[in-house]
Amino acid sequence: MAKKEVLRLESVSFSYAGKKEKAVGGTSLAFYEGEFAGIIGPVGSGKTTLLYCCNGLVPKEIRGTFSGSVQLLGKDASRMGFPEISRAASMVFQDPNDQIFNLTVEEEVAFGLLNRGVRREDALAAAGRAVARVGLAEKLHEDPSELSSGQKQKVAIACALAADSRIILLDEPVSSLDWRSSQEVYAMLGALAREGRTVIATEQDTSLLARHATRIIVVEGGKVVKDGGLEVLSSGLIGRLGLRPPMAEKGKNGRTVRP
Amino acid sequence: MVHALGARAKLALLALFMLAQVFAPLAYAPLFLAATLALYSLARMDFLEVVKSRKALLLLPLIPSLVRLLFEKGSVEIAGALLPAGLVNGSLNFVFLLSLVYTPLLFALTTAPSQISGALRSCGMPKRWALIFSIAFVSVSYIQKKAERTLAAQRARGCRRSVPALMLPVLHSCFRRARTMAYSMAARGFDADEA
Repeated sequence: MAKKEVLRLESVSFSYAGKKEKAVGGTSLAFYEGEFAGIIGPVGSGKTTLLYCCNGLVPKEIRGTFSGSVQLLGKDASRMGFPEISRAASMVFQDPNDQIFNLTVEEEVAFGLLNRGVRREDALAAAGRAVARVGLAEKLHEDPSELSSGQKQKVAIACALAADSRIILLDEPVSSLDWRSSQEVYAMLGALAREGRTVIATEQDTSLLARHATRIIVVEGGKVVKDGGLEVLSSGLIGRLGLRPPMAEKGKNGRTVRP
Repeated sequence: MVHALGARAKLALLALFMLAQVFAPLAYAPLFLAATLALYSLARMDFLEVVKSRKALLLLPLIPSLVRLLFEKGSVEIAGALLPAGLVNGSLNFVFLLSLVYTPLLFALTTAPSQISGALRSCGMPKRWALIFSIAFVSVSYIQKKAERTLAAQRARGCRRSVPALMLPVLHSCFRRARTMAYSMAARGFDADEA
């Protein structure tokens, strides 16, 4: 049975205000439920801007020249307000320090749900469950600004989990985490994809994507230059763009394999 | 006790406290500082630790008090002794402003931003402005930490203390944080236009 389409970008182009070059240039992509897509590309290739296009931050919040259309769960994103968009797609930003402003982890995670009009008790309960899922249950009532970078990033991920949206967008979600925590976060994202959610993550670490993603999108100069399965990671394109290919791993039969 | 008090009650008490401070004679300033210290004690917070961790805030009471100390002429009689007016009024002014600055800080440190904005909204303030004020309250410690980190980085590179060299990166960082925070709030369903 064909999987249901949840997000479609049609000929999307965007230039930031005051800049001539396109951060995203004529991109058309479709994402389906249960998919775990990794977006890779050199620094400044437009990966983050592409994510911003997916949840309406471009052009609603970030001004510039925009053309094309974005369909979120079959609806035109330009006609949706942020509360409605956040029900469909939640987002984790690269630097958690810039998005955390509440006094407790619980309040921070519940913020999105309260914006949607969820009852305070229900929002706090959902926040508690999401925080427990990222392994920070004991930090629920602590000040998030006092946590380590890795723990803050987990709080940001818990915000996305609590939102319970069908699509989860992540901008280099493990850039401040150690190897073990990165593996844990990606394993959790993989589990969410298997539950039927769509996970779309920009990432520099191709090894993590090789292990957990199901689809690889390569972006260069604002354009999608390759879109395919995990075989993309072992193509010559990765080296040509200055990206590090996935590290070889020991297979189950003891032989060294590349994904 | 202070933590458990509702945000609206805290805001009302804070407003009353500050109004009383402003309209009371300067001689009562030590009493108000004693009340501030008692409130910190009730909240189980170490006043000196709070002052130490936010040293930059000390400039607010310090600068005007120093001006008064250095430039106020005349003398004041206290218990039969004549003392320089600059010394007496400068000291009282410092005590007055110390209490005026650190009491609202206690409110910010013990109240969640959503509760602050809720309390401000219940006083008739529009949602958008209420949230701006509540985030401003809790951003004080971020700015302080950012300033300390910037200062340490500059010293490590042999830079001498300089206000523009400190202020420019701190301001740039604050604007960048404000922008990303706005994106993050929008992505979590906060609609500024609706607010």
